[in-house]
Amino acid sequence: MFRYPFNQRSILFVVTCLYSLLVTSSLLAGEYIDSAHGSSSTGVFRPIIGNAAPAGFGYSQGNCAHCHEQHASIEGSEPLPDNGGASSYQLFANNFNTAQTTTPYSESDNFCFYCHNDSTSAQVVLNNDYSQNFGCAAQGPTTIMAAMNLRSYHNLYDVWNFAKDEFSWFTTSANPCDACHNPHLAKRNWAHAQDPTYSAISKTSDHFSLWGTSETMDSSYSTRYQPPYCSSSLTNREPAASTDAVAGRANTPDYVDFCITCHSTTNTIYSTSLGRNLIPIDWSITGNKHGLRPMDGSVGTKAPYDPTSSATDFVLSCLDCHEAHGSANLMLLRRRANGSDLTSSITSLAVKEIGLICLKCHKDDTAYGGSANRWEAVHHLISDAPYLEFQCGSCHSGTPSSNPVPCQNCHTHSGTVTRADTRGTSVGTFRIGF
Amino acid sequence: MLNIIRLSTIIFLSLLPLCSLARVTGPCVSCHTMHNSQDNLWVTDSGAPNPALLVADCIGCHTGQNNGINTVPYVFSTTPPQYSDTGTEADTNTLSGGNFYWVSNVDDRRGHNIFGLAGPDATLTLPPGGDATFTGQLRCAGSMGCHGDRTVSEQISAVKGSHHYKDHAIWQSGNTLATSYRMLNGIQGFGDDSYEYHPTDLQHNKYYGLDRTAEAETAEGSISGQCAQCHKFYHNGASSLTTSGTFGTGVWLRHPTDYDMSNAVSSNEYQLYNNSATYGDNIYSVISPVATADTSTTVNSKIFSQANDAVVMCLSCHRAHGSPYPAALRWDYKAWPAAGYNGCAVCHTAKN
Repeated sequence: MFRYPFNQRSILFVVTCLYSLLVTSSLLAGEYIDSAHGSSSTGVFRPIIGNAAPAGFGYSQGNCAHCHEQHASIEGSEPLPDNGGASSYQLFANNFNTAQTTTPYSESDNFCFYCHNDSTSAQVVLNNDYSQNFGCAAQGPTTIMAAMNLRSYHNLYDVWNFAKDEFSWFTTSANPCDACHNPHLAKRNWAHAQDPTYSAISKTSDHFSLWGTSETMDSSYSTRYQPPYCSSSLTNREPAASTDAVAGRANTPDYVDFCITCHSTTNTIYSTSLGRNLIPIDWSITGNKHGLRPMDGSVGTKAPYDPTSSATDFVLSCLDCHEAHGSANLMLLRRRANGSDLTSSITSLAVKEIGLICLKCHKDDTAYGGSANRWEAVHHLISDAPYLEFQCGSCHSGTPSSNPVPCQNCHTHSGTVTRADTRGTSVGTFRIGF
Repeated sequence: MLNIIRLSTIIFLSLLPLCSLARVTGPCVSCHTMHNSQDNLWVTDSGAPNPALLVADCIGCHTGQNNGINTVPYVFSTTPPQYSDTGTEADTNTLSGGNFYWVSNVDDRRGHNIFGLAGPDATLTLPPGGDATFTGQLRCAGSMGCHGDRTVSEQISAVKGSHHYKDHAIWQSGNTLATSYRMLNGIQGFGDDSYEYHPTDLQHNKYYGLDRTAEAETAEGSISGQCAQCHKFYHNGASSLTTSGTFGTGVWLRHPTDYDMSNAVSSNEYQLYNNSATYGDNIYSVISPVATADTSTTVNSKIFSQANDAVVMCLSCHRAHGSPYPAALRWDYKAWPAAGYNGCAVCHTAKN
């Protein structure tokens, strides 16, 4: 048998020690154990896996085994919940039920719902909606599944159907939640709502990195982004009652760039829920008014989007108006915006209900001595109103409803408003929708 | 009774130092006894004569404490072996297969429960993942064992000739039992002379593995193919491993083995195997080793340096004999991340 000479063996010994130290230290901390799921104190915990024997197998909280079963077996049988065999990505249950094209979702439709659900067979994980976590709203839906079972939601089948053809890493077996989240990286942003380094999101085009940790509304838009008010006192800003606008924009991930990874001007995304393709979003300088397109004339906006602000042209974050997962309002519209709650839910686009969120930032007739969610002044009466009250039928004889005109008849995320009457005093451009 | 046997084994070995130093090329008396009698006392460990006139059975000869000088690989210790976090550190005294001490003294989950070392498994009646019929407890060799000719029931007879004709200097082709890796009949490989006592990237076993394209392939000759003889569906079988049936085109249902990581398309994290800063400069890890399809006697010290040299195998994660950790894992996965060790991150570099 070959034997190393003493001195050579000693060298090997020292090298081995140093090498072991190097490798060991490199494995002590990393992105996963810094994530929400990988935390040994608050991370994933499937009772049968984590409970001490004999109730469970005694794995550490945050261990891979809470979600993954390397052989679909521990001690010779499949741990609960037993779905009768091995599942994709070695998960303990099926990843996503592609037959469930619309709500209501149940736990078994989506692997994530085994925990992100308030009556689970695994671990109950409570998550409030954006309006509450970051927008100072009162208690709303308490879990992701509950939010997604509301009136409007990010349709998981549509996400899956789009992503599987668009992104190479997203397989047909992938979970639609992964389109926005990397479960091995995502952090508990809700617990650190003013710290974007605790991001929970990854761009679909860059799944293996967190997004928003340094890419903030401040770094992308500077003072063109005015964080909405948060508390009802209108003394602080989103997210989560940040001290002021400076702090607010620095604390907000760049959700615009994040969302338009999919909701771009070029992608065609079919919505099973709506029965049509989604409207492309153009947040560029030639696009939407809520994007980078410059303001024209007075727009009758409220603080912090009024002339008292340091900027005159603003850009909004998508999440200033929309929830990410689901909402009791149509179009995932938030239940609270710019420091106050909506007075009722937005359930129809056939009437002017959508104005309930518009008026959080835009002056309705109450600002001019009229009634709430009535929009006569801004359209007909103020100094740069675009339409004279003349030839009423040009606008007020349309469908589905004409008096008042449903906001959606003219204002959407796309298109140019064709003004029936151009004799208004406004010299503004044809107005691209939101 | 078991304790008496163990005690007898210890006394016997202490009285016969030549046995502990025995090599198959040494004096015959180191391993054999002509009449099982010396000074009117029996010589064998049990008192009864052994097949092949051996002074001890497999366990008897392979019980001891490794010190880097002994030439007999000790796979069972009567006192707790030194294992540390991964069994590769400088203060350890276990070998590549680990040690049966823990399955013998702690619980069933820490190794293969070999007859004579541990009782029948209290939970498992059959090997997990298998479809074979077993009518008794696992043994070292023979029809109920891993080593030797598995068509021969008696374990010493099953390894007949393999000690004497073993040539460690050549690639173990698996063509005969004597030319099979570690006397695992038909398995290829190239064993480290010291059986991985204090292994390094330059001094370690060279495991044979294949890059399969279909999950039904049995990968004959590979080290994982050996495990699959009992734990079949963890290695091969229709709809056992992938959603597509073809390696690399679907997603995994179970952790793959006999699959080369360079084929992975879902993530590039494997390219940084063993904390490498650069793809192609990946030092072989003795903590989470990989197999190779290369059949030369050159030790694979880097991976991703030639075709099919980053093959995941059962032994990437497990010790064949046993370890201090559940499922005979190489490191304390179960306690991680609160404590323990994340050897998974050697390959899954983005999940540390």
